[in-house]
Amino acid sequence: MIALRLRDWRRYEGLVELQPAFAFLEEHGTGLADGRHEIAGDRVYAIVVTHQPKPVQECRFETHQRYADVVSLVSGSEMIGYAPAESLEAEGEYDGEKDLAFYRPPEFFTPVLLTAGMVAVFYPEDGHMPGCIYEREEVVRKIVVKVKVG
Amino acid sequence: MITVRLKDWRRYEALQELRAAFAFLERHADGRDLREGRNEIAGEEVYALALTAPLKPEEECVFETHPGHIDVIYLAAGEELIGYAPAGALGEAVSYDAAKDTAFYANFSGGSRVILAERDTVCVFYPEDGHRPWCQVSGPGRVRKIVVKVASGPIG
Repeated sequence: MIALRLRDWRRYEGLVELQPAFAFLEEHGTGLADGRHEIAGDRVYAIVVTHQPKPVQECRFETHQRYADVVSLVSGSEMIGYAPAESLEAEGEYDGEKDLAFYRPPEFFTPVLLTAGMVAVFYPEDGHMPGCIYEREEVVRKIVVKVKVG
Repeated sequence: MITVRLKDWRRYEALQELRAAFAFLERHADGRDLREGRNEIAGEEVYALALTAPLKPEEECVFETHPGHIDVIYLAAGEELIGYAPAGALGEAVSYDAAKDTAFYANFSGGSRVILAERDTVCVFYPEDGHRPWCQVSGPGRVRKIVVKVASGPIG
């Protein structure tokens, strides 16, 4: 898991698989419609989401086996829980079509607080619980760049 | 800021400046063969500090940054809570200890709260990453910590 300010992304430019994601986010801060945006076919694409974060009790931990999630907050703020996937107990089967597995709520997790301008990167080994309220209820606009990883 | 389990560190092996630090932690994961204080790796470019100390209540801990170093933090024993927030969110530093290359921030208490598990978690804090170490997770405790210091600077 990586947390950073988008403006600092070149600290991580050695991670070449993430470069198209960071470059896209730098170029398209605002003005994108909700939904899917193409970057490099199924290898890299972006999903723009406008939503209302929920109380933590209503959020779920998840992982993806084939993609890293590069989550960028355009406006608002939200908390994303983080815990190593291996420390989590699965809830249901892995959905190969959606590349998505869910987990039971863990006893401990790291609350990652994202405000506008911040980015978090979750690899397949990084369990994450997106969309939680951080301090006050406010509408969040975020871009999730999906990056295919080995 | 990076949080990774030591066994998964190769996810980040393309970040060349961190390789010596991760390799050192892999070789000294139980910390037993390290002496308290400074341990040499590659001169002033990379060295390790082995530190045994009690933790403090979170409200007594302060945020810090290191303009000239990356901290690669790992626990050989115990568990610890470390706060994280981008340096830009911390306001002005109240003091700077040049000998330790450490700036301290007194007026910020928010941020992410990373739990480091014993002999498992590695946290990497770059110069732009404010961090608040030495916090208790649940009640009093102490840790044996290995901090690999990697010489660094501004991005680019």
